[in-house]
Amino acid sequence: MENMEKFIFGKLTLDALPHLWYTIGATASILLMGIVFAIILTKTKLWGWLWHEWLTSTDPKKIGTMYLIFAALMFFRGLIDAGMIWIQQAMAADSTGYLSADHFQQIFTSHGDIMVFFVTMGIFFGLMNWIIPLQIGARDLAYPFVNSLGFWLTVAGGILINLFFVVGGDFANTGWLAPAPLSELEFNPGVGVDYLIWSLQLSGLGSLLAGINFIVTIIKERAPGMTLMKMPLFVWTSLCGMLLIITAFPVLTATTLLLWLDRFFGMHFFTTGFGGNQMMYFNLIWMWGHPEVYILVLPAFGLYSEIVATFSQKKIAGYTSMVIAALSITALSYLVWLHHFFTMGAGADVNSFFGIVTMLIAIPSGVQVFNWILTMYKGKVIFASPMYWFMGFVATFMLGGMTGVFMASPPADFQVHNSLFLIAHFHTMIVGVALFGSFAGITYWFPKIMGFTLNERLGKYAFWLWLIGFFVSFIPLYLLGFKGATRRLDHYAASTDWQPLYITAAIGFIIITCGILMQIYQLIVSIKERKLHLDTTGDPWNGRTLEWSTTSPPPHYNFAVIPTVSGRDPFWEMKLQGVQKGRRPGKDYPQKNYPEKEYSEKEYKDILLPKNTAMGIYISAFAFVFGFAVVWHILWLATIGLVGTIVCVIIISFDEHREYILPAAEVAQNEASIKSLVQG
Amino acid sequence: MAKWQKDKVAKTTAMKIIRFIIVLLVITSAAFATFFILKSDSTLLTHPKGVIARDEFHLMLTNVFHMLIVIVPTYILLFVVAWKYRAKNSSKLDRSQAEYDPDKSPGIFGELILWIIPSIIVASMATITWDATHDLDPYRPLKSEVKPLQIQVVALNWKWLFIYPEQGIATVNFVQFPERTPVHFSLAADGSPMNSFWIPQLSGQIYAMTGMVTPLYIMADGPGVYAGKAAEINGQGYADMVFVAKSTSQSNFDSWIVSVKQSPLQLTNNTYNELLRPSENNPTTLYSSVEEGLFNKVVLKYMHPMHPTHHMYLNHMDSHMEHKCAH
Amino acid sequence: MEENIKVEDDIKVFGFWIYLMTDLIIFAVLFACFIVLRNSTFGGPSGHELFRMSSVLIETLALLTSSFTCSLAMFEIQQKRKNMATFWFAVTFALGMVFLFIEFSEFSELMDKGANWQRSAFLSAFFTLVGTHGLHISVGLLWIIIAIFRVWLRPLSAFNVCNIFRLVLFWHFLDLVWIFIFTVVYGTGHLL
Repeated sequence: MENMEKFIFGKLTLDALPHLWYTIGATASILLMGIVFAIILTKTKLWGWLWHEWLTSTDPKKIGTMYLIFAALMFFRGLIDAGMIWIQQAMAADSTGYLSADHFQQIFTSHGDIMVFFVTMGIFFGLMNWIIPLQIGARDLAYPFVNSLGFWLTVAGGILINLFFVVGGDFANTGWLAPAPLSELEFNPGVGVDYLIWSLQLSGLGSLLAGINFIVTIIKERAPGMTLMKMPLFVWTSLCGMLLIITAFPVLTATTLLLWLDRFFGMHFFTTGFGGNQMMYFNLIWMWGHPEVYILVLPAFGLYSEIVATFSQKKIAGYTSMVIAALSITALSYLVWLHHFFTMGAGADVNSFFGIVTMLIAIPSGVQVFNWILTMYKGKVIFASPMYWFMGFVATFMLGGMTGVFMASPPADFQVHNSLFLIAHFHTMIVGVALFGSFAGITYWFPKIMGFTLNERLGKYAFWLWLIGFFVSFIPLYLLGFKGATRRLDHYAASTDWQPLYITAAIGFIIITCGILMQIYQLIVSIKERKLHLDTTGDPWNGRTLEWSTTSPPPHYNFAVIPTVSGRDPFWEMKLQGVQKGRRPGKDYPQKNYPEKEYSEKEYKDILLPKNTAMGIYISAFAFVFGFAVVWHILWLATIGLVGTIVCVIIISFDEHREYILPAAEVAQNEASIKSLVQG
Repeated sequence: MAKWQKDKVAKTTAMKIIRFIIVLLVITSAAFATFFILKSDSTLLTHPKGVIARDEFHLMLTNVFHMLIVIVPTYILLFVVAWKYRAKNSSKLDRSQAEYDPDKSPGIFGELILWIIPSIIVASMATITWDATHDLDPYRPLKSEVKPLQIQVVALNWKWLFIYPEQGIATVNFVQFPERTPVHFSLAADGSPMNSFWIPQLSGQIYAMTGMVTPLYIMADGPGVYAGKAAEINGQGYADMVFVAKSTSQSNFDSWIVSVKQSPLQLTNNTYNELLRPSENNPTTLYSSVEEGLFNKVVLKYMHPMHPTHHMYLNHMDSHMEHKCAH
Repeated sequence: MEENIKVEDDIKVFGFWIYLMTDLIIFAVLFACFIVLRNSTFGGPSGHELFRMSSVLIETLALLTSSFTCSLAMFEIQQKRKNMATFWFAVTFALGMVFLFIEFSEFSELMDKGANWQRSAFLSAFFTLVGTHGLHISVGLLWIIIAIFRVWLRPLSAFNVCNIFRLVLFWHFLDLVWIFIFTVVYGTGHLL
């Protein structure tokens, strides 16, 4: 009987089901939200619409939107985690606060994993899905089905990381990288680490597929005339980020898989005994981990280059330098992983080598900052809200660069490693660069995505709240690091004098939360007032690159006629040719709302477009089942998941008709109706 | 201009000035607060009490000054350029229309300068880093006339065990040593994942791991009591895995040793196995004697199953360590 | 109309090359682990006590030959000779099975000796590296079966030929990885 139960349910027992106030609360709210959502969809009869228009879509624009929505949902989970961490630490001087050590550790672990894998990467995949095809003048990605699959695998990973709320068990309490041997069975017999491993396996596979897809798209699908050195910088830095993904993510996959082999089969890669080597885990995970940091920030760098050029109404200064800088950051990021554990006791030669290579990254980063400033020099800088985020970014980025030097120098790092100084440093980088960047990018491209601009005034309020909140929460953490506060403490002695600073940091968190509420309010107000801010021209910011040359939002084929590119700012040049006649030197430059180029009907051609497919969802669902079953050691279910995945892959490999033809006549008709809509 | 318009302009200008003053006040007070926090005695890193920690603190300051050489002008440039070339400015003053040059680029020469400036700073920091990393290498014994005190440290779940092999005593969560005497810690762990040993006011941290020995040298300037911590997460009892480090005069230290020798507790195989069990929030414990070769046994049991030849490994390991120290 | 199908130009082949590179990185990690853990036998048996070179040589020979027959199959597909292509794929499949069978019996022999993956870090690394390759071979064999069905059921259009071409690339890739395994695991394991 007991064996039977073990066979059917594996390690899953009734005890594992949610029984703590916060897991029950989370389960209830998740279920409630699901029910409300389902009722709304049923009432409005939108199930079919959701399925056919969105979930099964292979249009990168729709997948991009889904990535953004998914990342936003995950952001709230990560944010609640952050709040719980801060409140616990503000309370826990000479007391245990309101969370046990174990719960507290689970919360910061999931905070880290969610924010890195699902929020920041999710937002950038969303933006890249939307913008890269438009910027390179393509109609879709190289592999539309793989794109859908990659998205749904990421979602499967995202559900798995949240699943312990509903199904129970624990999440890992090890810190976001699950460092061995703490994450080994010896110290962590529960299923938490397995949840983490399989969540990262699924979403990592999704990222890997997306990475391959974007690389092939960027290399093979560019519009005629767009040589590599004419690509917009966002495309360049995304390409660098994707190169990092395809080289770094296999390391993550392999490493976490080895950890799982240790846990499942009793192997000894990273165990304390039997010859296992725990230092190898640190090396491997950071060989992925450091490039990962640049996967998060490189697309943001390119995005800022686009924004600063557009709003300075000037071409980017030192384009070639910017490309070289991005490429050298990419290359250097492989050679610095050891700076995450100088304290492990490698020799002085090894440590100083890695320390110096780390410092070298400051050179291309500095060049980028200088070039951004030089782009504004002799420009006509419009301070729209994306520019606010840009200025905030440069200010925090330089602060982060300075504190980074503390950590790059091994002997200094011995003092600040594992302290809150480190936490403050990498939050400065990830919030200041990647998160501010994604807000800037979302504000900048929002009219392209939705067809109307966001409310500027509220956007600026949100920016100030974020910026002030950021400094109020993280400057105290730097100081706490100097006071000798180590990271991940669930409580501490009051005699350390840390509590006032922890409380200040918690106040900063409240300000940030207000900033987020302001952003939500901004979104609501903007949607309500959308008639006032309609973007009828497709070019609300006097843009420079191809995405602004099509309508907002673009038709599903992006461009009725694929443009031919002759320069680095193709759309700006198209507009420039328009004002060429009677142009006064130094006076007349393209203004926004410049009339678009008109195509005669003869120029339209048949367009090949990808069909929708639900196979990405099916494969991810089976993969999810497999992941879940492996976490709980339910072998029969794992077999079903695995076989299901393989069968689905085989079926799709026989599907030759994944595309359909949109006839030229229909394109012409569509274009005409858009035109009449805009003019009318 | 009508009077109400003038009033409005005056009002907004006044508002702007007030806003500017408020922002300035907030920033200055925040800067002052930061300064006083860094100055207060509870800020451990800015109050080093040992030679290593002091050198590390000075290295931090050197690096910050290097960075400030670039960062301060860049900050100023960023805001000045952004202010000067703002679009509102160019519409207000007609003369700045001419300054708008959308094709302006620094040119190859300018670009080169952009690469060279940070390269010089980084080159300078790199040489400092190379030297400092070698000078402050934890493997490197400290220069001193006094013979170093040997202390073996074992990280257990969740407490620190200190063994004094020469004195034949052991302590838990408390370590005492004479001032102005180099202390050579040999760090290892048992039954515990990766740990980090850190006494912020005396030196930076080094990991303590199972199956291997990492060294750390410290030397306190004078008598004092310092907080010691575990800096790497290692499970439930992580937050309470703290210890007290105390430096005293040599005579006080000697009398302390004598007093510990009176302790009724002895660290035998049995009491050690007792200690090995995970426990949280452990009080200071003093042992008057230690089983011979306990530390080596702790290290070796993760390297090889218990086997008579393990002494060979031990000798090899010791000579290896000496070899490293010699360099 | 599909006289010359230039599979090399296909965008999917390009993407598949990138995928193979990522797979190679996974193997690189496993190789690194093996090299680091090679001497961590923890008192258990070491490589040269365990490996029998004769069976490994047969394995290698089988896999190298299968790589050749796989190329022949691709050649026949380019020539539009379905029967011959099927034949060569069948031969490839048989050789792959021989390889897997020998590997499997080697593994079970080691397990019988008590040299299982729980014995030491060295054996964990060995079983994982060689086993991951074996798993890839199994996937390749499944793919070969599907390719045989594809040759019979579907026209040799660009879409299908390209799919089969990727299988051939995959098979050659596994051959290459095996050569490294042979050198690093068995070759030096036997000598050291």
